[in-house]
Amino acid sequence: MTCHDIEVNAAGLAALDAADPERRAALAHAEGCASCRAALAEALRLMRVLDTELAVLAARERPSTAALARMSGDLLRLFDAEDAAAAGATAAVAAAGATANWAPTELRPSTTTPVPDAPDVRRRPTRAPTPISTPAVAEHRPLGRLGPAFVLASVLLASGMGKLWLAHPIGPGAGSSRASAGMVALTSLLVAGSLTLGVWLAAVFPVASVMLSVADAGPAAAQASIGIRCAGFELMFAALPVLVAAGLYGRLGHASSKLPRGRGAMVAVAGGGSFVAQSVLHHICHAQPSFIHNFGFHTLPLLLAMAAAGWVGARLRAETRL
Amino acid sequence: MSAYCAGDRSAFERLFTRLGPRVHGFFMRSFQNRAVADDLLQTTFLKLHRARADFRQGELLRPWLFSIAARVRLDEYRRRKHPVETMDEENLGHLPDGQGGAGGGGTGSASAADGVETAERAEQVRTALDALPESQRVIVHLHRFEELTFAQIATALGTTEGAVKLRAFRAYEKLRVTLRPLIHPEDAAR
Repeated sequence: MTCHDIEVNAAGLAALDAADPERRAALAHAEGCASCRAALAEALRLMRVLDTELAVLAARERPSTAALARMSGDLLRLFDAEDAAAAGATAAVAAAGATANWAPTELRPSTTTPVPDAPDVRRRPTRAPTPISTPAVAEHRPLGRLGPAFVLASVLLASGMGKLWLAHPIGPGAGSSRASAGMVALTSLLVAGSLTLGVWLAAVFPVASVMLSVADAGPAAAQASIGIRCAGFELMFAALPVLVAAGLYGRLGHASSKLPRGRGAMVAVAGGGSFVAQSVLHHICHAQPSFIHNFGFHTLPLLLAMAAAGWVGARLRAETRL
Repeated sequence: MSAYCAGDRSAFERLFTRLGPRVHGFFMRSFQNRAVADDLLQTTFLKLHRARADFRQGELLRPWLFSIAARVRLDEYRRRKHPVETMDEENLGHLPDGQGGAGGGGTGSASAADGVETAERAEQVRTALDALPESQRVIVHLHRFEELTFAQIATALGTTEGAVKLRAFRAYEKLRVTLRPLIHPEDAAR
């Protein structure tokens, strides 16, 4: 270190931490140089002056005790109002999403034939858990970042289970209905996992969709009349959780900061929703086994839903993480 | 902080009483206006409340809190259409708004308890600080008074440690020149 360095930087060097190598080098140099010693001594006195007088200024500028108490009270009232609004909005959005799930009751794909004399499943409280559970997890503070993920997973789970109930999974199809129910449950867990562990998990959905299409493949034709309804079913099942997720982001952006940002989350949610539909349709769709039908009206809609959700997600205005 | 995150309101009140004045002081250094500092203090703690789930227990709270305060400061500058990054640093100490000069806080004459000399010394230091460009002033405050490291200040202000250190060195050198009468009162007395 040169005398010039110390002369122009004495104050900065004196401000460094005592163990800083630069400061120690400067002090070591100053031991053998009177002018540098004087410069550093002056700088060290400056630091003492600053330390003393900054404390005096801080004490004089400090808000009064009464002012602090008033500001604190105002803030606590603001917090209460904001938290109540956020919880209410989340509950409303999640309940709306779950309620919308009830709406397309009649939109059953293919030619599912009701079993004679079977009770009307629309009167069964099969989907009651969703509107009850989602407001409960809407107050997600204790669950931290898992809360919104649970909201979305529960919407998916209820959607899938509801549709399976609707299709009267009793009788000869019971075995495959249990398999489909298992896939619905697993998909819901994967969506929650994508949102909490990493969106890379969502890559499972298109892969699994292709595998399912191949597993149920056959030489039959595309069966477009059935397929179009299947595709609509898949897109609808993707849209519902995306709607709920967009609502969560829009109203709770600050509290959902632990969720992956826009695009990744929406892609995962849409993929999960669409795969839930495919899992359900795997059981209840009466189309003849056909790879062309499966890939064209199940896998392709899933891919389309994920792409569209990514486009939506990229446009969501998520709150900047502080 | 953990108690506050768990919903303990009295924990927030304790937190605010302890850290609020420090954040208030940060905004006083930046904007030299008590009313503005009061508003920005509340904005900062509102943002802290919204982001409390992001705070990792075990980390230091003050650097995290000041990173929030620094963003609030930046937002206020943008609102005033004075982007810190593009302004000539020499002009940053002369913004048209909120230039209370004396900080708008009625800190003029000393009370009997303070002693006239102490008040004058503090006032000289304040004047010297106010003459610095704002970007240097906040760094001196955060480094010297809040005892944050250059790395922590850089994180809070969204810049590099090198830039913080450079500004700090420049600021301290200016203060060394401006406050020479305080540093060497025996020379000033002659």
